[in-house]
Amino acid sequence: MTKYLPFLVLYILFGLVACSDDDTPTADPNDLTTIAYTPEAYTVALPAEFPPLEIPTDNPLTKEGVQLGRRLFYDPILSADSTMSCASCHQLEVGFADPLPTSVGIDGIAGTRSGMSLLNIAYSLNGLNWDGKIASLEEQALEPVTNEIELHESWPNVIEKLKRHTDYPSRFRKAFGIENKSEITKELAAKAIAQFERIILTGANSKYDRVLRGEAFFTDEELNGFDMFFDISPELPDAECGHCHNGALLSTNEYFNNGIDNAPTLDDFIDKGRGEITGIPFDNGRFRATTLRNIEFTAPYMHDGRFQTLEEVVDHYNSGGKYAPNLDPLILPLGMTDSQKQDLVAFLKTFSDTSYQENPDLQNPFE
Amino acid sequence: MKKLLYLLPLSLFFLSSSCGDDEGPVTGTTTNLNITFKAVYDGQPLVFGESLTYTDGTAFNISKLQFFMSNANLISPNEADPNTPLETELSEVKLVDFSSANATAAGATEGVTITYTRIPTGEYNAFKFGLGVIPEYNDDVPADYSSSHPLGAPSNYWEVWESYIFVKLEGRTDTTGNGEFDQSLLYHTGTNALFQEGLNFSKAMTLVEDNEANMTIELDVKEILAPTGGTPINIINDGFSHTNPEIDGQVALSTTVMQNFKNAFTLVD
Ligand code: HEC
Ligand code: HEC
Repeated sequence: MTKYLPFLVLYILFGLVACSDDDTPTADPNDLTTIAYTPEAYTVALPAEFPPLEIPTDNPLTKEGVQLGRRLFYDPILSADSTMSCASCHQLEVGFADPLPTSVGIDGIAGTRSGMSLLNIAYSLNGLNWDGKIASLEEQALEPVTNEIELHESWPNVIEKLKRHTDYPSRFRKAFGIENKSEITKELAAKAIAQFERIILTGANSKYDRVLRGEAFFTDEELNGFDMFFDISPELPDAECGHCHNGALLSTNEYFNNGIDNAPTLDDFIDKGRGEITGIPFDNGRFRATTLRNIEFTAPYMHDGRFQTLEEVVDHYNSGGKYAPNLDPLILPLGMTDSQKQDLVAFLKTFSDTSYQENPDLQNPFE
Repeated sequence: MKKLLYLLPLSLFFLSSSCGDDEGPVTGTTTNLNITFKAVYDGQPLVFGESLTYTDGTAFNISKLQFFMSNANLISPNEADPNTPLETELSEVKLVDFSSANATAAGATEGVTITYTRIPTGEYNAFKFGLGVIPEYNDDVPADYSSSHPLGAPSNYWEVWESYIFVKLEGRTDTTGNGEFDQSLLYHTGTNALFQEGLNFSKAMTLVEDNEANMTIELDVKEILAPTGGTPINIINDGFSHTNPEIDGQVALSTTVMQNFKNAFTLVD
């Protein structure tokens, strides 16, 4: 601790000296110092059953940062031909997911993966994307801009557009205290987007949460589904879902092979998923078990969007999945009858909570 | 100015993280202690996914192995009162997870190492811990903790028992001998009744200042499934237990797994 104290003092000292320099008025058109920099903390009201939010110390949530991030998220300025924004593939109405099976970028080229829901993304702390390739939201936000099958733009171009913009420079000033337009960077843009993403929170108002709080009751069908999902009743089949999708987020964020592809050997997966990232063959075909919150609205399902309906998803799990040497042991024939499968689907729909859509801070600022 | 503004939060961040290491006021000299756990099968490094041969000839593989370790303490002789040895706390609750280490042969040979820093120097004669999560913490839920805390992962908690999952052993079994691992093998155990106290490993150690000490403990999965001198678990017929009290035999099976698990550790170094 004491090791850093001298540095700290030094920074503050330099800071003061530097500040006094800034007093001299300047005619630089790129100067932003006349705009006040007084960021206000952004507070989120978390549902009681949610774990504490973990926010990087170098990117605290501020009202100004969140608003800047919201604009960047919805603004096609991030794409080469100004036709697409993050929100094109992460749509508010469908849990900030993509209604297409596999997302299509500005050039009309489809990728191989389905756009992911960003609900409660602040809690995805075990790697982002289906395979966990990216560690943080700050890092992730840099990627779609340059991705050829997404926004297909270059960051230097984006930065130029932002600097020339009538509104953005002052917003960067207000959010991050930059003194000159030249200080707008992709890293700051990514930080703002990450701040916005962290406030995409839902949970408190789903039927599931209300039942757990004793404010509502499941129907008989939903209750059967609940019992099967969490392996509770000896009279009903154990559906094992709760092992991989549980907790406040209904997601363990861990990587499993849930049996959607047949692979006689570990080399036979079309998309190696987690294995591509870790280089470990036993991780091939493993993907992240994502949140089931608002799953009713985030069709199609799985990393390649192969299932159109929750009924198809439940049929898949009920079958015991397709064989691979690393098929997760929790994927096994479940023996649910048709009406039990319907009960499980009814229960999955109790995870729906669209009240986040009424949060003005999450809505498109340009509409 | 801008540059400095960035450095400021950074240095504050470093400050707080370096403070986190100071676990209480240790006076006197200290050193580090590395405790390495190695998962093996019948004495050989256990590589996840590789085919193993069970005592009855059945082929199977292991894909997950982890356990919670509670109250890990070092024991030292108490001259004043030899019947109540002194205990030095190393950690309250840790999760020992072989997932990354045992994914590869090299990692399996290396094992999982926990480094305890700032351990008071002196004479010790044993290391002990409890298998599972001590009841005091087992009443908590993952949402009470941050994601980096061992008790913070929802995947290690089972709502139905209102308990953490003390140990996980998972894999697949080839029941027909055709080379396909067609059946699930899974033991998840928990609940306060199954907590195993008093795993004790005698080792005379003199910890000397700034001289890292090491200890290696092997966990043999064969001893969990087919303990030497005991009855092997039938991994085909009794290959699945969530310790569900509502399902006949699961609690008994899980109790066997926990007792075998407790005896499957050996101090090797
Ligand atoms: C062309 C469609 C498309 C666009 C545009 C797009 N995304 Fe995505 N997004 C995806 C797809 C597809 C994935 C999954 C990628 C994978 O797993 O390889 C994804 C994944 C993510 C994830 C990870 C989610 C998780 O649960 O791990 C985040 C965060 C994200 N996108 C944010 C953004 C941001 C911010 C932007 C704008 C800068 C953006 N996306 C633009 C399609 C898109
Ligand atoms: C062994 C862990 C595991 C179990 C058990 C499990 N899942 Fe999944 N689930 C996953 C993984 C991993 C994915 C993502 C797979 C992919 O995209 O390739 C997933 C994806 C899903 C999706 C699609 C999510 C999306 O955004 O597209 C739904 C819906 C789902 N699971 C529901 C269930 C239900 C219902 C059950 C119980 C019948 C269940 N899961 C059991 C691991 C599991």
